[in-house]
Amino acid sequence: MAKALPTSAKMNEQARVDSASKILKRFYVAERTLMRTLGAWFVATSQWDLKRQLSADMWQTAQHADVLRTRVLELRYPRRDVDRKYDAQVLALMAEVAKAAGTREFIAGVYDVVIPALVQNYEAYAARTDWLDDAPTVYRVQHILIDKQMQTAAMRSLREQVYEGDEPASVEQWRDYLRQYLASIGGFDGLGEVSDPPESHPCAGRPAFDVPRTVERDPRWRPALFHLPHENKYDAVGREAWKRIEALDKRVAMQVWSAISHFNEIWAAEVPASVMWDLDSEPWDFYMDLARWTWDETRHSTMGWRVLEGWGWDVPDLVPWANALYNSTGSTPARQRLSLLHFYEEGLLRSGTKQIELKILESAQDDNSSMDMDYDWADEAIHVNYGYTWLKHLLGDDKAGRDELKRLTDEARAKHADFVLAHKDDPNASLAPYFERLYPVVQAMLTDVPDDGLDVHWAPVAADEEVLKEL
Amino acid sequence: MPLVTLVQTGVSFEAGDDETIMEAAERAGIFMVHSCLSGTCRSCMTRVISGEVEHDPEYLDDLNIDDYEVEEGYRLLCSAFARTDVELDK
Repeated sequence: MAKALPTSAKMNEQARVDSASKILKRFYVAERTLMRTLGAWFVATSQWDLKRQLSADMWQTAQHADVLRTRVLELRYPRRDVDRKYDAQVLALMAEVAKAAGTREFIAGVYDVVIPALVQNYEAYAARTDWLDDAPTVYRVQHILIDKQMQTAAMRSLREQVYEGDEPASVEQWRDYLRQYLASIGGFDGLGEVSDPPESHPCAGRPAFDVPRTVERDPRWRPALFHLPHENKYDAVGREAWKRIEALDKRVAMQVWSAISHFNEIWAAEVPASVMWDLDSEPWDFYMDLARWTWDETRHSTMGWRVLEGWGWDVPDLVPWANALYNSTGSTPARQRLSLLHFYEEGLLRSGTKQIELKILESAQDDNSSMDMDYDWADEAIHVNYGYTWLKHLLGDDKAGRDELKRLTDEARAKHADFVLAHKDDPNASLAPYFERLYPVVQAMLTDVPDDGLDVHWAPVAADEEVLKEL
Repeated sequence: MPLVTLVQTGVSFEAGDDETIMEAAERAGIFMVHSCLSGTCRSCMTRVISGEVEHDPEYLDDLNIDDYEVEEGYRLLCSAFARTDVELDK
């Protein structure tokens, strides 16, 4: 017999480094896929309260995937494999999760099945592993758990507000399907018994999900294609109606413009989220950046909504919430949609538009809008970096790539202009009814501020620059 | 100190050796378009008409400007120093 000192603790085989890295890799794959799916369903969801929660949770999920990925690599996992050899069972389950027959089902699947199962698996992992040897994982998992629990609580509260009446039986059937499917893959950690997926379940066999190529806005708002006069050069009546607001004071006009514009930045969140769905095999940092881009633009939209609500306005009645900026190019390739978004963002910064808008809002002594714009401006600078970096990656870091970027951008701008032309007689293209209702509301709220002699030239960035001549 | 002249507006200001052109403009109370102040957003990218403008050598790898743009005389003013009197296309 050989000799040894007695052990002070019994080892769990699943807690050894090799096993732990494989389990954490499955968690990473689940979170990574959940992030892209939340983003795609953020696009597919029109209800405003749910939409912005999905976006926020999507970004948090990207953070969860990121720390798990980092930890996998710390555990002797081959770098070349961390973004390959994804667990087919986890991918298959998550593909089913995306196939929900509407936002209500999707949320039930994610927040009642997927996230609770991940929470359970993370808790089990933390309980199983050695708190000292694997402390960096425990620390990260504990923080992920805090986020997940807050996400489920927030979504539970929102669902109670948004959905009235009894839940349709189909929603519980969907949860049941996903629970069975999850059980069949042995859970997210893969430690359970594996069996055949529930192919005979009534919810099985649905077609693959795809991110929507056109979006609708929250039904509390009337359908609107455009939100401000620089978008539609054919809407002369709307432009005249806007000019009445502008004539009140350029500060007032900027306050209103900025809030409406911010609120409508939701399309700029939908574009990167949809691109993340369409392009599924890019470097991990690509998804981290686009997840952030999506969440930032959702935050900007929320900033606008908060300002509009703060004025005590009936926002759905007074403020157009448009979809043309997404829908006009929604069917174009992901690279083209990203090129157009980058065109807008870079244009805003290079022309100093955000800087000038901030000066006007400061002149209006509108601290709330100024603060929003200040942070928006900082965010947009990050986004230009993302666009510059990833379009080079996608299109090529050479003259051919630059030429392709220009071609894609010009073509997208032309498509948008064609869309505007095709809808020029659409009743939903007219902004005059909004601005006519808005004018007396704005006029009644006017207050005096010191005249600081504000002297700036300001112009928005438009896909079709012809329209700027009319403004 | 080198003198920086914005040719389009006719405005001039001095820039210290360890002061980016953007910092010098701000000190002189001159509005110039900028955003990130780190050379990544490209909003301050400007063509140098004459004189020598050097990007901060410490952060060259972090700057979002292409070699061909540098060859064409463009610089990111938030991350560049005037080494001689310069004229900028601004």
